[in-house]
Amino acid sequence: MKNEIVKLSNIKKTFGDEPVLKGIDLSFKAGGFYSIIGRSGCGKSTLLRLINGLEKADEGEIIVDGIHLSKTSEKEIRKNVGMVFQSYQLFNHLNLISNIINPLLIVKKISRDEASDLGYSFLEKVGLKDHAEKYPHQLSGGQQQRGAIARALAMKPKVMLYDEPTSALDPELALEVHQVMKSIDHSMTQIIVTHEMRFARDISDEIIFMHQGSIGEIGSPQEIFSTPKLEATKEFLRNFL
Amino acid sequence: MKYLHSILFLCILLLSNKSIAEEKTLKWAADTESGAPFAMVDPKATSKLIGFEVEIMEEIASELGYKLEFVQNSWDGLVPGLKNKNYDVAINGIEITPERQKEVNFSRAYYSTYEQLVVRKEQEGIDALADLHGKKVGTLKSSLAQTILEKEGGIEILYYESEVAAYSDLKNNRSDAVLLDSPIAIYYALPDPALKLVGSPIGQMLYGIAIHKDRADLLKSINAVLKKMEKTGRLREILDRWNLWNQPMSLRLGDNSPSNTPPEMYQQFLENASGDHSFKTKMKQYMSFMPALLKGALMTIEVSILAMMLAIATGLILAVMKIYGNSFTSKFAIWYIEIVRGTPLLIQLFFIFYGLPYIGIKFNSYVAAVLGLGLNYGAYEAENYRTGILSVPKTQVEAGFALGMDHYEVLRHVILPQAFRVSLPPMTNDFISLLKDSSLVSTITMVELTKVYGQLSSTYYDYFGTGILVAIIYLLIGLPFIKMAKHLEKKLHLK
Repeated sequence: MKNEIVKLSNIKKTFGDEPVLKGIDLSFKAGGFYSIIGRSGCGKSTLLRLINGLEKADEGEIIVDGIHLSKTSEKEIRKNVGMVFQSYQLFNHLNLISNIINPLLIVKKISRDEASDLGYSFLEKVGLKDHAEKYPHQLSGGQQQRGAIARALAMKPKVMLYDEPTSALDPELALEVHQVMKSIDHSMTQIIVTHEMRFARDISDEIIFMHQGSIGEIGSPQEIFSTPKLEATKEFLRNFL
Repeated sequence: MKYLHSILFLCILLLSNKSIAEEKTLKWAADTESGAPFAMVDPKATSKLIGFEVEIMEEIASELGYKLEFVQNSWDGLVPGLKNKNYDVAINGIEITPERQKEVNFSRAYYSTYEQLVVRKEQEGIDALADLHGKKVGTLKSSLAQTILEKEGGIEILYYESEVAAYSDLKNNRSDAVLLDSPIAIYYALPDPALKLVGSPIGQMLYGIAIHKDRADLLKSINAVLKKMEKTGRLREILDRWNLWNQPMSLRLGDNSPSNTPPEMYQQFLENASGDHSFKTKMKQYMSFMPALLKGALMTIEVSILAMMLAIATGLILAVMKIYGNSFTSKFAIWYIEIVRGTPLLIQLFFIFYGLPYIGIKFNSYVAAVLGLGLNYGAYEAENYRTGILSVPKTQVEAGFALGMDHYEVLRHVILPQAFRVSLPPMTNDFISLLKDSSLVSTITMVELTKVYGQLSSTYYDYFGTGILVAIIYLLIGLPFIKMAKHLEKKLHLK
């Protein structure tokens, strides 16, 4: 496949006796926006965490930008893969701008001036330039999530992963965050695990419906939301729309 | 010209080396706390020592061409310290016993004395051991008097660390009698109008200078000097000055002549003890304590800060080992913490200073003090940091990893800065308690604030004023650190 940036082949993962992923094959094209949906416990978050090495697959192979994950260090993987979590991820002891600058200094080892320029430009992109000096607890939930996105983007990853980034937010604040994600340059691949169906429908190139540790069906928003093939998909959507 | 300079320099070097080599030093140890009449701080000049044993040592040094160097050690530690070669000799009313003779050599006895019974002035009917049955009797720990009392049986024995405490309890009706070495009774009970010396001499004992078994040469030359002092009357002169000439000594040296040296040092001691108690003279006295107290305080601060730094490093390593290590390192950390927390600091200090030399590891007292305190507090700090580290939310750690930091970077830049805020208040607490626990290092020859307090208060019989003075100094030492921590806490919590 052309421009394939992330490829998962036959991924299996078990927690204790519980099989969470039962042989997943998936590929993501560069620049695409993908939403992974499905019931809680269907394995979608685990799948996301596997892509940046926070979890290790028991079986199968993951390739990101031509690099086999099993053959490289986690540090190397994460150079290309950014991730935003559900909440409480901005470092509490640092103000917003330092939250962006410090990882750049530590991981990318660039100069402070360069890191500072990058930091402010990304804060501007997410509309938080005026809040640069504030500490996480002085920001709203939406601002914190936007800050986390800016921090991840500043590392210039090729792939961005979002693990339910707005599930802890009020609809109004979720909207701010969605707006930011929409505005991101489309050369970047973005994969989101979400329960926000409207947002997934509006923005995604492709929707992946997961069911009981397997891929249920994959299709365009039109296909998944208007003409779902599986009974499981229909039932899931009935509860959400 | 340059050439000439070099030669001149070399000559000076050789000369100075030679003079140092000529002046041999003799390191001697004693405990100057409650030291009268053996070795005590001179009330007139707190940097000087006086005492009949000090005069004997001075005589020996001048006869043998030594320069004296004094080492302060707690009484219990005198023989162990000698075995470790922390000094050359120990002299401090150390009685010659077969048990001690197995450990160290003793010089010929320079003093012979006995145990003296002391009771309250109004007390009647106690003037022999047999009268003590069913009574409460105070004495010093591990003294001959203790053995005598235990052998007698049927006596409730009270064990004291200091003679002053023993006599003061007697005065306060907490005991019925005190049995202690005669010189101690002469100095600490006889001058007291509330107490009286009763009965005839009990037991007999000989004081000798303890010398390391390896130093047969030193033993021989010290014995020669002591013998000479006996012959020339110098020994008697010293004992007379200190009002210590007694029946056993006159028998021992076959000298029945009346004293012709006035007991001037004893008089001086009495004047000091019962001297002018006016506010003005007291204040003047306290001012004169200052140099000694400040020196002790400085030692306390120095040892405490270094020990705390070691404790922080040890604690951090242990906490990280316990939380993130493999099963071996985490087990090691758990055992370390349990063993160190579960045993007394005093025993750990003794173990490091007196115990480790048996397996060839020898530290000087300063290093041993810092190591002992630091490694002990490290165990407490480890648990403190562990609490701090575990208080950091998991998502913070994962966010660090997701940004591409490795384990060390996450620990250093994400976990520890946040853990620090949780651990800081208990850490401040620990430092203050370390500051106070540092007084224990006086048992391994260190002279710090509490030791100086012991020396001064027992020299001047002033436990009240000196005590308040020292308490204030401890508070003042701790205060800046508490302030600093408060400021830091405020700053961190604002964030």
